[in-house]
Amino acid sequence: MRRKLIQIICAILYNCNFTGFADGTIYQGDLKGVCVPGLNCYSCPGAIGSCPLGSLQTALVSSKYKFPYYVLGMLLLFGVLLGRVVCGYLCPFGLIQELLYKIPSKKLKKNRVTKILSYVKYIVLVVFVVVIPLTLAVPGFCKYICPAGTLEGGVPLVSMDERLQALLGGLFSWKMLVLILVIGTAIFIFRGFCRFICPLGAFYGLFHKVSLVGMKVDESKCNHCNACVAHCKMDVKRVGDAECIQCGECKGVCNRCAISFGKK
Amino acid sequence: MRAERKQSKMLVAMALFMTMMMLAGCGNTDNKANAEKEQTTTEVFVDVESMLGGAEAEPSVPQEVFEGDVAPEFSAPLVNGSTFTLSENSGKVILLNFWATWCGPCVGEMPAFQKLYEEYDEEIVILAVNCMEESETVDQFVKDNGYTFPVAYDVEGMVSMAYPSSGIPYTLVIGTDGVVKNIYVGAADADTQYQVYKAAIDAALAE
Repeated sequence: MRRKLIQIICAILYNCNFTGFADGTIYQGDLKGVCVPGLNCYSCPGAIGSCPLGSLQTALVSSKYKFPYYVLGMLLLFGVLLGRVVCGYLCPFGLIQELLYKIPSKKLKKNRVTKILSYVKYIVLVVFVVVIPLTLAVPGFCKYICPAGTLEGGVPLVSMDERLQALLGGLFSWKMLVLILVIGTAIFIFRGFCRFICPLGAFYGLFHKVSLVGMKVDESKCNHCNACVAHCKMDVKRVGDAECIQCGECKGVCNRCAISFGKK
Repeated sequence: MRAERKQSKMLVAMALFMTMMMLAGCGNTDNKANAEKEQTTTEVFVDVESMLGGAEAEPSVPQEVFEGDVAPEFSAPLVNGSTFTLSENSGKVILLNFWATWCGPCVGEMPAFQKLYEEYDEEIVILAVNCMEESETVDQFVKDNGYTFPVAYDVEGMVSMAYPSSGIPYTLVIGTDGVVKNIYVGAADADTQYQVYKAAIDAALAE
């Protein structure tokens, strides 16, 4: 429950330009030069900071003229300090999916297919976040995939700005379709976007061995019963691996009390 | 229970630490001199207050420009070394564009400005104002693409501030009377944009 509270506070903090929601405008003050840790669209009318993933792609588009030291530095800092703790605690789009999963329905259990699908996000990271911005000069993930951008930026801005409505075409339809698919499946697949698609989670996952804080298992207490991995709704092979969002739900099922959160 | 409390305390501490780190870095982007650091930090807090307070926003905050408004005055240094001042060009039809090197659609429509510049010559004024990138970045871009139409720096974002927009490319056609005739947000390819702007310029010239 503490985690939910942190997630909610975080979502509000990222998006506290409340007047933006009323008039459909984007806050463009100095704070917008700062990257937040989680996936939160720059173009959300409430956003007071920038999405690190969006900033990275945009910076890569013009990296010929200027190397994106700041964005890469922030991403590395978040990764080294927190890793996927960001996913579990500081990502509004993760929160949205978790809330949708609370809607009563039949739930899809993780299986071999979801484990394989969990590698797709690394391909998305390389192709849409790095290669497409560098070669085609467009922010590939933001433009063609990101459902957080459609939900937080696209829908509110387009619904309030007639000039933007005049620009709508096939791309917007496609992105609405992606959003509807992600939102719809989130009801019965736990954090499907995070597990299979999100390149930001993929990036933070790369730090699972080195990040400063996270879940840790006391090997002297562990009896290798695997109850933690069986209970986890993510596609983890071990507690604290690249798929682990450090949420700590496994702590309660460990009858040896071997799992804790803290400095690794 | 205790472990959980310890965990959340740690997270709060980390959140505070990161917020401080971010605020320390905030506004202190390479565009701004270090000497301005303290002042910038103060500005940030003022911004947050006015954001939360809403009503306390300063009266001088520029409003969005609409078609039919008189184009706000501004002055900006140009890539060629001279300075552009809007009021010095009154009586002419002006195409005013806001762009950045990282903005795909902006870069994509730029050949249209070059074509219009060559076609209309002295008859109209074309100005592409860069949005807050370093002058070296702008210079390199203009050089690489061989553009000869006037391009302005706006490192501090003062011109962008006078013409607030939710996005770029943002292009205005200003009439001989100094009134904004057309506003365009977003852009298709250069050929399409050429037709769109040409029609708007011709209409403004005919008035």
